[in-house]
Amino acid sequence: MTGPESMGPASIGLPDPVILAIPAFVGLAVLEVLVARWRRHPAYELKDTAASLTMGLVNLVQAVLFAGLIWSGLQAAYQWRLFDLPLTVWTWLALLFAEDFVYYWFHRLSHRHRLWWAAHVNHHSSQHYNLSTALRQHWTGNFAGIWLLWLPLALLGFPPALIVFQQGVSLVYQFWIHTEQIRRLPRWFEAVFNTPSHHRVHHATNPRYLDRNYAGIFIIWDRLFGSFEAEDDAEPCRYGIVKNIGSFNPLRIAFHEWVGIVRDLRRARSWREAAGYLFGPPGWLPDGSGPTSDRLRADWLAGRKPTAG
Amino acid sequence: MELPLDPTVPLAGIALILLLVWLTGGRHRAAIAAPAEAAALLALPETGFAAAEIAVSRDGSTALARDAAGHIAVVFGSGARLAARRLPRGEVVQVAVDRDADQADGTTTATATLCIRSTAFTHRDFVLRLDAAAAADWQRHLQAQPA
Repeated sequence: MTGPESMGPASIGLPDPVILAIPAFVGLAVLEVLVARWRRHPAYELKDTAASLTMGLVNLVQAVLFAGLIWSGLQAAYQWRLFDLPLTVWTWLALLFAEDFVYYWFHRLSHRHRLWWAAHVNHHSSQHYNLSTALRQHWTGNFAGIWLLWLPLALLGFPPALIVFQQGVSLVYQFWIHTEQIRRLPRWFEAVFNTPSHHRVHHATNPRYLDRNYAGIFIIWDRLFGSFEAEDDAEPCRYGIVKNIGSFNPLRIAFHEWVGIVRDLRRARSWREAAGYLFGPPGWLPDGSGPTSDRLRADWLAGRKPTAG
Repeated sequence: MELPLDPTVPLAGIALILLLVWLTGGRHRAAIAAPAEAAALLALPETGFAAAEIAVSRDGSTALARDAAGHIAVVFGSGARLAARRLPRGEVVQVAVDRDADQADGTTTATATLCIRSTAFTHRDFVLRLDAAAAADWQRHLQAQPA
C-alpha cells in the first residue's frame, strides 16, 4: 500500500491543511461556545453537537479509506494532462480560483440532484448553525463519486498534490463561516468572499433562501451564475432541512436519504420514475407535486400554500 | 496502516467541546407551550399547513394538527428546537392508543398515550399523552385521513 508520505500534499512537501487546522477547529469552537453563552444565545446543544462531531470524526476515517482511490484517479487523469503547469505560486493562485469553481458546481449539483443530495444532506441536517455544524461532514460522498468532479483539474495540468492541498484549504476556509456570532464583515469582503452571512442563507430553509449561495471561498460564482441571495435581517434564517429528521443518531443522519431513495425506487412504476427519484431534485414526485426547492420558492413568491409535501 | 493524525487530538477536542456545551446549558429541551405556537410553526412556508385543530401532548413534547381537509401534521421537539412535518397517511406505519397508561382509577379524567410510528423518519415514534377521549379521536383522525 502507498504510504501517506508518497501521496497527497506530503508528496510535494506541503502539509495537510485539515489535519493542521484541527487544533484551531477545537479552539474556535470552544471560543464560540463561551461567546454564545456570554451573549445568552442558545447556539449549542449537547446531542446536536455530539452528532456533528461524530460525523466529522467518521468523515476523517472515510477520507483515509478513500485517499488511495482518489489519489490514483487524479494521477491517472494527470497522465493525460493538456498543459504542464509548474509548481509555483502562480499555479497555486490559478488553482485557488479553478478549484473553487469546481467546488461551486459540485455543491450546486449536490443540492439539485437527489443522488448527491443523499450524500450531502447530513451537513444540513442540524437545526443549529455553529462551528460544530461545519464538521457535520459527509460519509458517503466519495461513494457517490463526487471526487470525479475534481479530475478535470488534473487533466488541465494542475499537480494532483496541489489539488488535494487546495481542497483542504477550501474546507478549512469554510469552517469559520459556520457561525451566527459574526453578523457582517466589511462590504468589500462580503462582495468577494463567502462569509458567515452568505453561508447562513445557504443553510436556511426559508423558501427565499433555499438552494442559494453554493460558494466555497469566493461568493463571486453565485453572483455570476444567478444563485446569490443576500441575508435579510428582517427574515431570520430557519436552519435545517425542509423535512427535519428529528434525530441525533449519526447513522440516521448519514443514511436517512439513502433509505428514502431505496424506498422510492422500490415503488417506482417505470424507469423514468426511477430516474426521477434518483437524479431529480430532492422532493421530486412523479406527478410534479413534490416540494422541491423550486416549487417551494415559486409558491412563496406567488403567496400560495404548498400543495404537497 | 499509519494514520496521518494522532487520534487523541480530535478525541480530546471533542471531549472538551462537549463538556463545555454541557456546562453551559446545552441540555435544554424544547417544549410546545401552546397550540398557537405549533400552528405558527406549521404555517411557515416550508410546511404550509393550515391547522384547523391541534392537540398538544401534556408534556409539550409533541403536537398533532389537522387541517380542514383532514390531513395530519406533527410538531415535535428535536432537542432544543421544534420541528414540523406533514404526516401523510402512507407514511404512518402504526397508530396505537395505550389505554392502560395512568388509568388505574378508571376515571374519565385519565390520560392515554397515543403512539404513532412513522416510516418517514426511518421509523420514528411519536408519543402524545392526551385525555383518553382526545387520544381516541386522534387515532380515528389518523386512520381516516385522506391519501
